[in-house]
Amino acid sequence: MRGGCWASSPLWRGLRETEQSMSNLLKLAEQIRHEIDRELASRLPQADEALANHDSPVWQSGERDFLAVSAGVPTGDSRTAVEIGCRHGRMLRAAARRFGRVVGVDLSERAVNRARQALGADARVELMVSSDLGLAPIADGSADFVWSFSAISTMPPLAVAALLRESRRILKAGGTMRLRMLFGRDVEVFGEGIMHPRAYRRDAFERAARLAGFEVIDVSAALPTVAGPLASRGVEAMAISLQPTVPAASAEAIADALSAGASGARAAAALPDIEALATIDFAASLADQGERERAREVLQYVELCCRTATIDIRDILERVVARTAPKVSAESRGASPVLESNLRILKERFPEAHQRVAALRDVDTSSAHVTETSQGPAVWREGSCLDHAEKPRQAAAAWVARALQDRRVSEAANIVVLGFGGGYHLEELQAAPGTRRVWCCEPSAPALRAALASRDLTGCLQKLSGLSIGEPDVASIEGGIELLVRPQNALLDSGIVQPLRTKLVSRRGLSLLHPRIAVLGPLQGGTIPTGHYTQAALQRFGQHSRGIDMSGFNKGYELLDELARSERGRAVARNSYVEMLTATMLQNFEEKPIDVLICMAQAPASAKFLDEMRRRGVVTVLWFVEDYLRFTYWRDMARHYDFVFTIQKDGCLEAIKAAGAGEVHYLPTACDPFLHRPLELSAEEREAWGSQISFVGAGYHNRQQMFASLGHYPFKIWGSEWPTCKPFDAMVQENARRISPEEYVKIFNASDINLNLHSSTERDGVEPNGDFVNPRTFELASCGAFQLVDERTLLGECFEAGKEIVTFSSLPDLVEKIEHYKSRPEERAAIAAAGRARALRDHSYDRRIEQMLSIIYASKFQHLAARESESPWAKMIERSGSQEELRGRCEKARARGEQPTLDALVSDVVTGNGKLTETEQKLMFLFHVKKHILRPALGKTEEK
Amino acid sequence: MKRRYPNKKKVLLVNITRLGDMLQATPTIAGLKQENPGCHITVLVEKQFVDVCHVIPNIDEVIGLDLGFVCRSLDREGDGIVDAFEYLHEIVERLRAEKFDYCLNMSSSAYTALLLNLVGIERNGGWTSDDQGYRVIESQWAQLFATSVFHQNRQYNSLNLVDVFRCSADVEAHPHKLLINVSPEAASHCDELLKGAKFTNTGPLIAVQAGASQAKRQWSPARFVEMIKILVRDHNARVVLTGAPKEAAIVDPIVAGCASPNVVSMVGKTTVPQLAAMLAKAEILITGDTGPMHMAVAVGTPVVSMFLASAYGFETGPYSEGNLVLQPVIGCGPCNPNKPCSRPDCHDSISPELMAHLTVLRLAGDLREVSPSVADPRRVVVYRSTFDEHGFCDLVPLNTAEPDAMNRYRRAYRKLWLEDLGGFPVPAQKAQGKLAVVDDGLRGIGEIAACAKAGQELIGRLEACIRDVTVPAAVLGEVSQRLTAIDNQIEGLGFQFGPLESLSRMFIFAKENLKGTDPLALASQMNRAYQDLERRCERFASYYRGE
Repeated sequence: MRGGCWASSPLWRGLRETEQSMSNLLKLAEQIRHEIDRELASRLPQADEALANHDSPVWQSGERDFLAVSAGVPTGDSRTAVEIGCRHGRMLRAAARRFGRVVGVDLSERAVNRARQALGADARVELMVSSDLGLAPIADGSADFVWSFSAISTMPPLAVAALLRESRRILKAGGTMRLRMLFGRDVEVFGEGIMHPRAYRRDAFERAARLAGFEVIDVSAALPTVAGPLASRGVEAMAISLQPTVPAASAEAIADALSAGASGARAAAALPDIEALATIDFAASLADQGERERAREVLQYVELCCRTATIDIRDILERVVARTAPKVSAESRGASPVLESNLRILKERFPEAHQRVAALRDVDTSSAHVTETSQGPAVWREGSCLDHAEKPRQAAAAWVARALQDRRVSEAANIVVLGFGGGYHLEELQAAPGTRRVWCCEPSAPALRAALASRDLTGCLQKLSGLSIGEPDVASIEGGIELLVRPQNALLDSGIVQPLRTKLVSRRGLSLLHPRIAVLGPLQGGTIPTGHYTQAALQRFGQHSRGIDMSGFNKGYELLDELARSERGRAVARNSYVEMLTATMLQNFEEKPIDVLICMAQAPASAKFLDEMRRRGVVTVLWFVEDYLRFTYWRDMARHYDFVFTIQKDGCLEAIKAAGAGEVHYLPTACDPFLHRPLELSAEEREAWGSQISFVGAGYHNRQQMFASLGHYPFKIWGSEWPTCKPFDAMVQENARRISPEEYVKIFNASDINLNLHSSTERDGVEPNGDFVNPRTFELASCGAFQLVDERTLLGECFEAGKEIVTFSSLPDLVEKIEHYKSRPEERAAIAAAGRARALRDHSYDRRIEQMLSIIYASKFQHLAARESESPWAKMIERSGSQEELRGRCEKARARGEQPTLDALVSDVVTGNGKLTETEQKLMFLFHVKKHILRPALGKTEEK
Repeated sequence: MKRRYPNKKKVLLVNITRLGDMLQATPTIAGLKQENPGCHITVLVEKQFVDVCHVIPNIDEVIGLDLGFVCRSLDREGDGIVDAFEYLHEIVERLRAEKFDYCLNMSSSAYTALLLNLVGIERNGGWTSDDQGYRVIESQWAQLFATSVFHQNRQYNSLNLVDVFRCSADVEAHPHKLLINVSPEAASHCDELLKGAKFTNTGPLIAVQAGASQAKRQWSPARFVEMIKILVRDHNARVVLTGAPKEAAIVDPIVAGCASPNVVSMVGKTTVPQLAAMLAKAEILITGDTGPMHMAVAVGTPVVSMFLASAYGFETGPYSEGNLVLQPVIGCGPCNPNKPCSRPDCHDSISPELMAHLTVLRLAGDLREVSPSVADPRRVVVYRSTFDEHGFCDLVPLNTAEPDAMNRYRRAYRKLWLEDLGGFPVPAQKAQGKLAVVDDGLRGIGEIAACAKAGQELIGRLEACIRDVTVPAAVLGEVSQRLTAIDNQIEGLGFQFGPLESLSRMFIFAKENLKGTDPLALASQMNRAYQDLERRCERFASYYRGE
């Protein structure tokens, strides 16, 4: 028989697959064993001490948990129980009291040895090591009860599947299997390595159990339940009861079923495993019974033995301890002088917070109080100690040290701490090496007052950069921000933490993300400058953006009309033209990839083009700076954008959202204060550009209709599409040519009154209920020019009418206001100045771009961060870790928005400008190798 | 001979990319060993040449630089750059750890110069760079090398580059030939190949290297066919065609065109050491200016070599006694190696008949004369390679006494550099008569000398200004500006009067390689450069005139 026939034989393939899956299981078991061993090796000796003491609460917790897991399962001396993942045998002693034969199985020999040591000689207990996730020495159908309390919940799908299969094999008909698992909606995998708590989807698990040959008898919430933030993420601890029915499918099939429901989302924090949860709960119940010391012992055990327990055990311990701790009120400590001096500094530095604290005349000890410890007072709120209940100073130091281990935190320019507590952690943070500004946000005024009454905090207050009660104004903080939330506050103030985190994520996005952004302008029209302003603002924001000015192609676009005369012919030609442009842009983005594409209204971006960009993972954004009722192409195009920003609200947002856009937000246009600014004009310039009344803009219907009546004023009209007949012949300037932005800034500056009438092609005069505000409104204001603008529903939230701007509602109203203001230069100047101040504060493109990016980054932070971390630069920066200077150069070149090439790295290495560093010389070496060897060689290939 | 660094203990020789270059370094390496007993020699070569270096005698250690890896990594860009960077880092660390006390960089590339500055070897004979990334050529011989290979100056040079390198490394004693080891295994492999060839002729075994490094240096296969046919038919010759596997495209048509059992291709059948053995077996090699030519010289097989297009016999000709070098006489040759040629007329200067004829003559014994009727000296000059009394390789024309218009310059420069740089005595020559005095071949030399003189005067003033702290900065600036003007003038005169450019170029190199930062020390070095230039102008003129 020839090899080819062998290879196609199903028998051969079956054998191969079995062999393959066995070797996979062996490998997996080996990895898991390695991790368990490593974990055991890292344990402190106290853990062994706890086990050595047979009366220790650890064994008691085992007793309690076994009772919970085996509830309702028949026991007896003739029966056999098997624990999968017995580790050091916490529950085996309890089991041996109820079953004639108890088998503890673990993958780790080290664990089994410890269990042997801890349990001593017990004829009922057998311990065995499984080398391959199998239970081989245990005979088929020999066990009455199989349970796994915690181990299985930390294993990957294939291991869970293998163990379910083996459990099915050893169980007698009518036997029972009990498991504790974490079920969740969108929490998948946490931490490094293989062994960490996993939340499977309930339906997926049940399907897998059925494939493993079980009937799911019961799934119910396990005690203790998962509380707080975990529950809000949809994670639940469940007790599962299974009974064997049919034979099991293959481990792979079971594993597939198990992982089928796993979503790609990752949880932000690790979960404590079931054993940790159960033990913590046990500690709490001990504390409730007044057994503080025993509770403490149990918690110490959790801390020592459950590596996945990332809850700050100390804090829980404190809470437990607190139930019996004596309360000391701030006032009773006679701390008034301290409070006064603290309040004085608070008033000086943070008047708003002071106002809130000072308003609390009577100290409300029911919501906040202080207890005395050997290291100073500890502050309590709503039954929780905000500091360590016994060693506040020491615990604060440890917390800060741990937080600063994260480079992002230690290198952040600003740290916002949620929770003032007793202020110990703030003092630690202020004293830690490095320069950073520390801000604090304390959600509770009574807690802050209690802290201020408890000890001298003037130094701490002096050094704080900000202190707020409730949510801080992060917008006013310059530079990168990291948020540190005190564990106690995470639970108490979850309502503040989440929005604050979202805000900071977008803020962090602005400082941490460096997506490559392209701003695609239109071929023609008034949006062209808006694109330029947007691009300029992005640059000022330090974003890697490039503007793609398409206006040069407009000439060709217009020429098409001359070549193709019929409407249909024109349409075809225009489409082909736009297709050609988009194909060219795709090529451009291929060569210089981008992450975010901001299209200005009317940009030549076809649906096909946008879909292709999204397929490449690019976030597509449309700034639709047009009247959605007049320009309706959004109906077809909205669904191709991840974000659409509009200049109208309400109906517009809803309609565009309904048309399929990912997110729709209101974002009005703005001014560019670098261009739109007050100018010093010469008398000649004033003469040439100025007038008592001026208008700049195209000659839309309503404008013609209204302005025709103003011919008796010294009135200059600038802009295109105006008739040159009477009465306009005297008003329209320079043959109704288009006016450049630089020119109209001169006109605005040189005119006493600038009219601003929003265009309408349908109505006469002022459009009733016109909503959006045109760019000219902001531009005029930014120039410090006086304007009379028609009333708009959205204008009021941009400028205060009468103070920052003057509006008119009709022609008579306009004439009246012209008459009023034409002879009152001081009034005009005051309003214009106020308008300018407002425009600069709230309506610059910088502000808009910040808003736009905040929105994009808040919802796409993970996506963009992932793209960035996958980008060649990120890889280069990571790879050049040990080469400090090379890494710096990579970071700089990336910040310049360059492509990840050698040319980019050497672009600022200048020969003859002082000594080159070693890194520079090395890069130059590579550059010359490339230039003299690589490039000529490539040239040759091309010639061929 | 004048030496800069007489004692060398641990030497690094950088010779990155070419086999021929490596062979041409062998006299220097042998000389280094001979003059510095116990000296340890390490060679840094491109990784693919590491094996080849093992057949080169006197090398103690070979370090391979994997430029292929660097290029592949760089070609990937992104983190490939980090790979290349890390690799470079390792190489630099490794070279630093060796603690070399002397380095001779035989490559003029910018990257080797940067590498050597990174390694930081104190004493250098060749190219390196300073901390600012500027090129540094310390040795005047190396400066002469750079001057001579400057395209405009090549035709005025008669010093073989092997000797210029050798002198850069202060080596005087040398074996008067290139060196390579031929192993008995390689020799017996060639015996087998020849046995399997089934020659019917019984005459001389002639090796032919038909391939060349550049298309324009590639004599056409048709000419080779014609030449080989004559040798096989009329002279009972057995012909083996050598070449690298990629040269099969050239060699195979030649073998096919000859259609003779006496013409056999060895292309792809020999390794580099085996090729050396094969060339040792041959009685003569017919070739262009190629790697196998140097290899034949190394194994002691005489060569008849054509120096076509950009190849120039004086520069890279066969470095041993008694080889024939054919240099076409043509206005455009030797041409610029970096420019292609679509009409290589120089190939027509050498006929298949002439090559066959000279081969047969050389087979009969060392040649001292070739009749102009055999080789028309107006079309091609036939030279014989030899060594002068100071051990410098030279070419002696065999078919004419006065080979070309450049000859006088070449002779004059040869004497100048041997005397001025090497300190070798130059015998006085008989005056050539009054006609020589009115020769305008030296136009411009007076101006250059005058500039050199003016420069020295200005340096005197500059030094005075530096010493006198009361002199206003503006005066210093003015002197320095005038010096710059003079230097520009010297450079300009070099461009204007082509035959003199070597003089001005040497001056520029001297100026570029001033050492230190102390103004007085710099001024004194600069003064020396002007002095050198003035002296060289005088001597060059006198040698040119035959005084």
